[in-house]
Amino acid sequence: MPELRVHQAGAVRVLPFEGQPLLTQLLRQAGYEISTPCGSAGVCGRCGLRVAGQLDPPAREGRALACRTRLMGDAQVWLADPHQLDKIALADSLPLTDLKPLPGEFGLAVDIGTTTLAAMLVDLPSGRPLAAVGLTNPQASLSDNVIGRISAALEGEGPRLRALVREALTGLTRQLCEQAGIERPLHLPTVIAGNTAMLYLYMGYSPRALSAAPFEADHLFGVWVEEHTFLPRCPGAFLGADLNLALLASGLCEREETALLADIGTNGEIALWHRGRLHCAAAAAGPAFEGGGITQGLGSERGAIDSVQAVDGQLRITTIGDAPARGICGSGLVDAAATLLDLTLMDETGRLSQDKVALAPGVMLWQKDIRQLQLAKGAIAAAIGALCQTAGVRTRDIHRFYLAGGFGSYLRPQSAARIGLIPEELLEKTVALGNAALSGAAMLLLNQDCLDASTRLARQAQVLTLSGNPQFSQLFAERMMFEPF
Amino acid sequence: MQILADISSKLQAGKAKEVQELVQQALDQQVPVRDILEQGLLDGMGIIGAKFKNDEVFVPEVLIAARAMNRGMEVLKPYFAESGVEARGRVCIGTVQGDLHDIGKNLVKMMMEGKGFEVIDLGTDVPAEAFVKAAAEHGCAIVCLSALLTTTMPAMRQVVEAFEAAGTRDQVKIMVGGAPVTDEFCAQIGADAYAADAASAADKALALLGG
Ligand code: B12
Repeated sequence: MPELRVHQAGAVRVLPFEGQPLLTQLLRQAGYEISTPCGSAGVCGRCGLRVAGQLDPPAREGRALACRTRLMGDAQVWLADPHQLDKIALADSLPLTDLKPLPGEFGLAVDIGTTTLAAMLVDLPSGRPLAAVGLTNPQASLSDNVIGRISAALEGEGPRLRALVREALTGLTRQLCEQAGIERPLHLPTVIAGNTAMLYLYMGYSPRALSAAPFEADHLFGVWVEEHTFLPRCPGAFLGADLNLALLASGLCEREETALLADIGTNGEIALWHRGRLHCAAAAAGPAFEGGGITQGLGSERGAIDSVQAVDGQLRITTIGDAPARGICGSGLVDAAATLLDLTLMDETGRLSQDKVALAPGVMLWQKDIRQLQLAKGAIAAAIGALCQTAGVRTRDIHRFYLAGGFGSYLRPQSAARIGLIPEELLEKTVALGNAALSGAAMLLLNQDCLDASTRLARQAQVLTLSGNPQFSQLFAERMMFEPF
Repeated sequence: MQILADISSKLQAGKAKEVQELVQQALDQQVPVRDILEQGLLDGMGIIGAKFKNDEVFVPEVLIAARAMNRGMEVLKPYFAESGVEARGRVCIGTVQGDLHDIGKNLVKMMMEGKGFEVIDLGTDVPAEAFVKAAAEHGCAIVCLSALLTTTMPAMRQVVEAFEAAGTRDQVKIMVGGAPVTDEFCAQIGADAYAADAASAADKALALLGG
């Protein structure tokens, strides 16, 4: 039988195979994660791997797209080091006003992100966080994006998706208890945040309603499931419990002043609080901010260019882990665009003065990458505009602008404003919240009043539908331009 | 002729009002309607289309150029019949059922109009049967389907099947497109042509009718 030799982290694993499987098929069956943000269309280049051997089409310069390449005989592949459990920065304290914990000794707060699972163990009586860990969401072995997972579930993979996330959570819980030096408690009150689709998959519900128009979710949660697990309520089909909890954690709806919150990612979620009303919108931006669809795009991995600046008219970059540059991640991309504008290597329509720009030896930014960024940032900026128009709010009336989610913490607000991703007037009012969904989940464990408050918040949210919305379309076309707004 | 070159360049720059005025002026100067259309408006749109295809300009520029073209068309259209100008053919276009993305579809429509086609726009979330019905009603030679969601791509197959079921599959050419669609998928569902961008879509449509 022919074999594929997989080189990873200095070790070699041998995978015998029959027939002529795609590289992605064989690797995923063996449990490796291969990211295919473009849905295996062979366009985004994210699954490009170093390869050798009998392949169809044959390797080009020692590389091949795993999603498009079939194994014809013995071959070899080199993979990046596996993801490890990330240590999550542990907040000393949680944003709490009152301590009214759920009964019990310990509680578990979880955020099921499409990409990352994060969990935190808290001491209920004292409200103290004990340990926190993160892990790549193992469902990524089936698909790394929400729609892909919805499709997989509809094609019969629902039970597997459910099992994958549950097994990972069991593992994380064990890890947390070890770190905190406690036995796994029998009774462990748990709050699980996540986007609507992730909660569907956790429960094993069919996500058909999330797969096509009119995108009306048949479950919005806000319920206790199983013995002691609470799933907070989602404002809509693409506005998740994670948004709800980020809002709660920011405390934004407890204040009088007008405020904006944005979770910028593949699916952007934007909320505007004005005069006691909460307006929300989901803006599909696409995977550009996570490096998807970008020729040499990377997630936040070692060697990804994460910042770009102009020093004396020259590009100066930094990379994650200070490793040699191998590609570019979302924050680097936003920075790069801002810098190219400053150096007039790109004009405000997004036209590069050459067809590509070298950011570092071997790392290029192409014209088509810029176009992807324009779509992504245009969608977010237009959603912000459409929400403000709907609520009758001028940007300058907004007192605070919260950036939730991982990307929001890495993003440089100056660059984001320069390219017209976020409003320039809010630059000084920007606050990065980090993984606010996880702190929000912990808040529900520690203050029982927050359980109801979160449900009320989601219920009162007025969801602005951007599909077929002429204001949005108009703004989208305008805000694809690289101009501050 | 200078005025035609001006119409073309103003259109490319998206100057709707100036295009409109220049078209009127050209009519007043007795420039043939067909020349105003082909060497002015369609020429400008063709150049924008080619630039878009080469990534030299992007969606916003195409949208404003198309608006300028439409303004010019409004002035010119009333003279089509008397000067014997006819559309290259009729096309109906829509985003398939379950999908509400329409920007790509609109660009395809504009580029098709820029090649002289008459385009019937069925909008978004269009059921398979509606394509069949519209094609028959308007005598469309080409049916264009757009989908932006991997979950709505299967609806394209349903449209092909609906034409088969109605017995009118051989009367139309079915074109498919949208970011997740590929040539391979087009072949799989038995559609006739795929194009990656709006300008190529219009070229393919011309080729389909020619051959
Ligand atoms: C703008 C946008 C929206 C807008 C749509 C506004 C509108 N009026 O269309 C809004 C915000 C409303 C929206 C909503 C949703 N969206 Co959306 N959206 C996008 C975005 C950012 C850009 C799409 C776009 O307009 N591209 C520009 C046009 C010009 O390109 P195009 O459509 O591909 O068209 C070109 C070619 O494909 C070709 N073409 C197009 N049609 C045809 C037809 C034929 C016959 C031919 C030959 C050629 C052709 O010509 C065009 C020009 O060259 C993409 C992400 C991205 N970066 O691409 C996501 C994206 C398409 N959306 C996505 C999703 C999931 C959604 C939602 C389900 C979720 C949500 N968050 O709300 C909803 C569903 C709405 C619905 N019912 O359909 C996903 C799809 C993922 C997948 N695997 O399927 C994407 C990829 C983002 C992501 N999450 O990764 N979206």
